[in-house]
Amino acid sequence: MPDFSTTPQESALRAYLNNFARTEIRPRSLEADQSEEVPTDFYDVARRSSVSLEHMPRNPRAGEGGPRKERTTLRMGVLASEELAWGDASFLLSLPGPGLGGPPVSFIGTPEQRDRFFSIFDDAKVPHYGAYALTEPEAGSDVARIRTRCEEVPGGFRLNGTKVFITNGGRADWVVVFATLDPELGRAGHRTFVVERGTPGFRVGRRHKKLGLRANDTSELIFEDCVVPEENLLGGRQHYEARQSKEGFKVAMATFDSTRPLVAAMAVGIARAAAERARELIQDRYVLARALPRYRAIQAALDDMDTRLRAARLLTWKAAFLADVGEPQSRAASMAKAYAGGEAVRICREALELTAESGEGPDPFLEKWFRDIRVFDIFEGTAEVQRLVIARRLFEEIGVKVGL
Amino acid sequence: MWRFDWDEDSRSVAGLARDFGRLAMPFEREAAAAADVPKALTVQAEEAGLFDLLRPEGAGGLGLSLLAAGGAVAALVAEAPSIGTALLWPEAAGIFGAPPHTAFLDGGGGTPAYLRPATVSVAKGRLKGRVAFAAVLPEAAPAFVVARDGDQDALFAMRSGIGTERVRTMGLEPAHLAAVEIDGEGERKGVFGPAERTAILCYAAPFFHGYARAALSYARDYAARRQAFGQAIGAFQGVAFHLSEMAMENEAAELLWQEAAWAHARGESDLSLAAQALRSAKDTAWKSANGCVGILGGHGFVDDHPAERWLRDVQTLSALTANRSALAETGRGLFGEEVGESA
Amino acid sequence: MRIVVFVKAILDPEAPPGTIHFDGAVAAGSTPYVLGPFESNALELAARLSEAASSPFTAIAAGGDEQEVALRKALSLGAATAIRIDAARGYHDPLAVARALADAAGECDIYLFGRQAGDFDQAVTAGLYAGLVGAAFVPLVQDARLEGANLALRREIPGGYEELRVGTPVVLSASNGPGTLMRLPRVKDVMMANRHPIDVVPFQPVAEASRVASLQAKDARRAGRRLEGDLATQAALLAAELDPYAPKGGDR
Repeated sequence: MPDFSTTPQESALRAYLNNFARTEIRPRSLEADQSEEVPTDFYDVARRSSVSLEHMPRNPRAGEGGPRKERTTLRMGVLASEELAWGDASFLLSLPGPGLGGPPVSFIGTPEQRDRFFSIFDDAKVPHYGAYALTEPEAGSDVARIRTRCEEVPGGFRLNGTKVFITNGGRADWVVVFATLDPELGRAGHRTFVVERGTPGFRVGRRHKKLGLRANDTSELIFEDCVVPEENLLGGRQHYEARQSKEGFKVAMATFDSTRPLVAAMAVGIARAAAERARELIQDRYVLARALPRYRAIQAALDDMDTRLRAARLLTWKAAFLADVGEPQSRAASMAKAYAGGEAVRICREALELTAESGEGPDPFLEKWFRDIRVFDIFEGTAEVQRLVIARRLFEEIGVKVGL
Repeated sequence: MWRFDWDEDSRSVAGLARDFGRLAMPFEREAAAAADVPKALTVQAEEAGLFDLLRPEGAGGLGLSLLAAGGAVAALVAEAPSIGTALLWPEAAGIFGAPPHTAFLDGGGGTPAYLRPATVSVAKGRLKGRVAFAAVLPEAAPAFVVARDGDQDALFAMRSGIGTERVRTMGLEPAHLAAVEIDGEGERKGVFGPAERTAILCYAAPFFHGYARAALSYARDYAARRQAFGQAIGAFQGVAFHLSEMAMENEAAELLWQEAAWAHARGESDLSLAAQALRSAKDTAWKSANGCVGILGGHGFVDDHPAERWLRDVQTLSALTANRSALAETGRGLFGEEVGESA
Repeated sequence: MRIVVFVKAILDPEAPPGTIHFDGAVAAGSTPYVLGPFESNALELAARLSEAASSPFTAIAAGGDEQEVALRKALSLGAATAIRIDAARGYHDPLAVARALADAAGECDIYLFGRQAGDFDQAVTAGLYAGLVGAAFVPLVQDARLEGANLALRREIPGGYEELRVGTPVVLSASNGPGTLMRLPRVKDVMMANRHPIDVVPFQPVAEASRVASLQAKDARRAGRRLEGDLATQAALLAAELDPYAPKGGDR
């Protein structure tokens, strides 16, 4: 029977992280946005408070068939994401860890590779990062169109190409890079590499100036005759030979199935922050001798925001639940991401709109969240891509393949 | 611990409701034309126990929770929307222990009293007033009536003194929709407070969800089949995205009513949550029924397909639920007791 | 009056293509097993006869866990006992199956089968069963009533119906008709059925039984093609296309 309660452990995690977000993130948030840098003292505070991405799944499928405890990672992940993003999503994305690079390494990395690339995170003294480099200037949603080339050379592969919009790309210790042997081969030509910082021929290009999430590093990565050793081919050579060679593409996609609920949860966190803030600001404001909340239009708008927020959270929870119990969830994950992303954008805009009549200029937090939230309907699959996925699944249910 | 899977009982009861829906579906058009559900189907639903889902076990019912029963209601309505709704909607009084085929007439005003004037009031044990629009049963009495009793709403059982006059509506023809005059003795059953009102809203939501599901799958099946410009229209993103949108909204609305029903079942009923859920379900049902008509194009506008009927049904059903008090209740949920409805 | 009905759950004939593979493998997340259509007819007869005789009936299925769907359905329609013969999915010698069913059923007065399984349509088990237990066999029954110790059975014949009278023990195979349309169970009984235990007994395959050596998928259906030319040319092309003896390139 469906149930909507959190366990005592989950409630405790939420309360702890909410408190952390309130006391350690929010006070630093506006300044970080201005300076486009998460202040370094935050990393120490986070480490001392044990706030890390440890409860974020490196591999949501780890322990499948194993003890149930290990399969509950994504549900904890969505709760944590919402709370931390409620503080500031830039800070969450700046927390040290493998980031989006984690899932591909654990999905297909050899045991040796997993050890090698994950062990750097054991040293918590210095922030370490992994990153995920798929998007290129001419290929985002259509992964099959990537043009970064890899060619075989003695002892490894030579990479040439440019990746853009890479979260934590400027400071990552290693980056999971998707490249193609030959664009003509389509998906079968894809290979996945882990490129380590300092590899000759690999450099960080410009750091992108953005609408929002400004405190978080998003960079361009450039590969010029960058030779990556054989042992950094993710999964090893046999992995691609044994599986008809389409694994590179599948890895890219599987990553998104597991991370979309997390992105959705972050969107919920930001939207919740905006809705709460709007309500606070409105609470004691008077227009024409009547408290604003007594206006039906205001009530209706706030009620609507609250409803959509709640629905977005439930969709997110459902996607996480299905992933944790090993049910097919790409439709649910896409729904959560598309709904939460889209509605969060609307909620943040509405919050700004409802509080705009004060004449004092926009509330700085609402203004920031309005900018931050926009990318949540874009990254990890745009609104349109999610709708494509949902529509395909809808037709699959009746065994029909339309040409979508 | 939050979870979204169903237990064996809920699944099999919903399965039975779905089977009945499939059985009833071919009679939908006939039922609309006759402005009644074929007798044989009513008998079958009764024998199967579909009228007993929510009635407490002490009153001879199955005592299912609003959540489990709602799942069954949605499953039935998704297969045979008009007949399913015409049969089950008027049985809401069962929640409060009424025997089958007891009409539920809400002449109360909600709490606090200033939110909405009650339309039925009590004086010296006699109920008097009018409910302008309600789903009744072919034989009007008995009924459970919500009426204003002093400063609160209360529930009364009535055996007589109920005069119904069937009203013409834009849809939901198989149901008996009427204006009701009430003037008679009633037996007081208890207070009709926020928890009872929450139950009624939670009862209503899955009907809308059922319509939304029916409309989505009808539109989807049509889009997969219908060819235009050399391919199935579902292959055009303009249509496909419309369907995705409907599916997403449906899923969101479904989770909202489930949460409200779940909260009610564990004694934490929350009227504003339920009001949000119902509003969401109504919006979704409208969007899906409307989208279904649109995707079918001209076929959606003519009565060869059920789409136009479902659109009329949904709007009729929407009128049967109390918009105004529900909205005021959510305002209260957000800002506390002292904030009422105004402007 | 001892009544037994043999039921079978089959892969849902209405499941969307692609969810079920020809070797019986099933797409993740789908639960496509349903009670076979003719077994539902047999079950309706069992329920009626058991009511008329005021004696409980037993339901038996052979197969894996997927058979629970069929047995729970029988329980919800009033079966007092449900037995599953634990046989692996796949081909089994029909005689071995009939023997296992007979062992599980014991001695009864009325044995009810569906006229054929909805998936493989072999329609042999009922006949073999009758031979095995030495009972009379009436196939394709569309209605049955008790008349004292006898049964009145209705069957469709070309242009009409016939009514047969038989004594017991008797093996009946049920076919579809107005008299065998399965009723809806009651909600309460459906819930009771979920709590009812299902007895599991082992399956003894016969030693000399045939076994499946390999499985091959059918070639995918060829796409249609448009016949060009005037009507006569098209007719000639069509005739050539349909002629099984005409020389052809490639697979049909």
